[in-house]
Amino acid sequence: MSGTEEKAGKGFWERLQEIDSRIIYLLLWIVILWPLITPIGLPISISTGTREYYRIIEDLKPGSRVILSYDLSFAGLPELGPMTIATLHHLLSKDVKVYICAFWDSGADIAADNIKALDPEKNYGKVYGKDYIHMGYNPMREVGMAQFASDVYKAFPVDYIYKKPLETYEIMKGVQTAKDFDLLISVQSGTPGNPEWVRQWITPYGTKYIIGILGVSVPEVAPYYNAGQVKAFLSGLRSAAEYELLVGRRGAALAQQDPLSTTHILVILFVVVGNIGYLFTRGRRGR
Amino acid sequence: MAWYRRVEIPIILTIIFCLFQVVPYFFVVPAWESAAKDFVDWDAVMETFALFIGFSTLLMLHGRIVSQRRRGWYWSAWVLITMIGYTIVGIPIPALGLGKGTPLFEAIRLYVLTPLSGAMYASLGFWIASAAYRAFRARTLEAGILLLSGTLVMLANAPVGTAIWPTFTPIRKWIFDVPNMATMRAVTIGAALGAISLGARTLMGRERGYLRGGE
Repeated sequence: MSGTEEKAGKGFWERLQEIDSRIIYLLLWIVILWPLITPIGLPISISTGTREYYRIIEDLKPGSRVILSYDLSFAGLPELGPMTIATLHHLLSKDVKVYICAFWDSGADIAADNIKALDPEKNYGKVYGKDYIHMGYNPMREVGMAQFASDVYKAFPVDYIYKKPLETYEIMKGVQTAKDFDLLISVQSGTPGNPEWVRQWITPYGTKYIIGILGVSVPEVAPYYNAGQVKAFLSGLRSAAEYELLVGRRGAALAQQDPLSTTHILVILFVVVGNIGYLFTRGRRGR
Repeated sequence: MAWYRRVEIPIILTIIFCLFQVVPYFFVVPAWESAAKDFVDWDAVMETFALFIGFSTLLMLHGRIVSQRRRGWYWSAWVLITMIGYTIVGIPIPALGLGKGTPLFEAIRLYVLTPLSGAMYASLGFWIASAAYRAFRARTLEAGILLLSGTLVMLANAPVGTAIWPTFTPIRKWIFDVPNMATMRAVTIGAALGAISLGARTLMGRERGYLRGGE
């Protein structure tokens, strides 16, 4: 039987099952681009988890010391970037001291980009080395986290921007170990990430700890959250958009909510149509 | 066999350095703790050497593929060009416009590395869409339950889902808090028990997987 005859012999559902992947990709392209060009503006409800994350930062006492660790790669940036910059904006808007660091090589560069984009001196009246500092990248992963907990200056000897010894900055006065910090925030896209922080900081020192994660990481993080080790977490673009609404800084996450909706609907439609086709053709194959 | 090639030497070293890290977790011995911290610093030095070894290994491996014109040798050539090229660009010689933070280094990072990394990750979306159509089939009851729970979570994640029916959010919370929690706790505890037994075997010198592939 020739290919054409074979095709003609197949029913509608069978042919639908064998649809060219390029058509699926094209449909996906359309549902991503269409709402970006003509936004729909669907309402976004704010979840309890996002409120908890916001509240923990909002309730920080003046002068609190907060670590913001950029544990993410460039690949994770499209999903984690918006929540990272929103968190830095939130911290800079408050009277707290911000210690920026990274345990992923790209994290230090992303942090530097965020500082440049927000311009703390001009937009928040903050002074580098007094109100905030970029301590740079530690390449030793979990061992580096342990080192950071026991001696900050061994983990980060010089700052990232001016390469000056960390202890020469005013913000470092009275800072030596993990016990000297009030809150640890880690935005993370893999290992080293949550289990490593919990092992080296949360269990031994009891530091208050909140995180930002990829949407797919929620199942892994949920037990740590229920056990109280992670006090709150933002997950993926949806949480980032909710957080942007709370901090009053509309950013990339809010802009991407409509494509998020349309692509989810498309994937659900694919699942439904694919399964209907499967049920019909299964009956035929059975005969 | 020469004494320095004996397998017992790395095993004894492993046991000693393991004990140095484990003991301070349970007992307060200041001198011991100080030594343990020093060994952590040694780790930084060793990791730097490991980076150099990694770089040399890649050079040798891909260099051999290119010189022997093996299948796909041009990909190896591209690896060598980008690796050596970006390394040269990163050498800190500001007078030549080289080094981290210089316009050339930052341009490659911002306009090549960042979008390429994002594009690699984003291409997963297309695979997922295709897989949703072809592979996510309710062939069994368990697969059907998995599909249903996945669909409910997706509807809760997308603003359109919660705009249609806000109850998707508590449903997602229940899925994460009850069935997911039970499974993940079992996985985590299982992995932890495995790690403890691996640690105990290493401390006793019975775990030799890290020594020449267990020989």
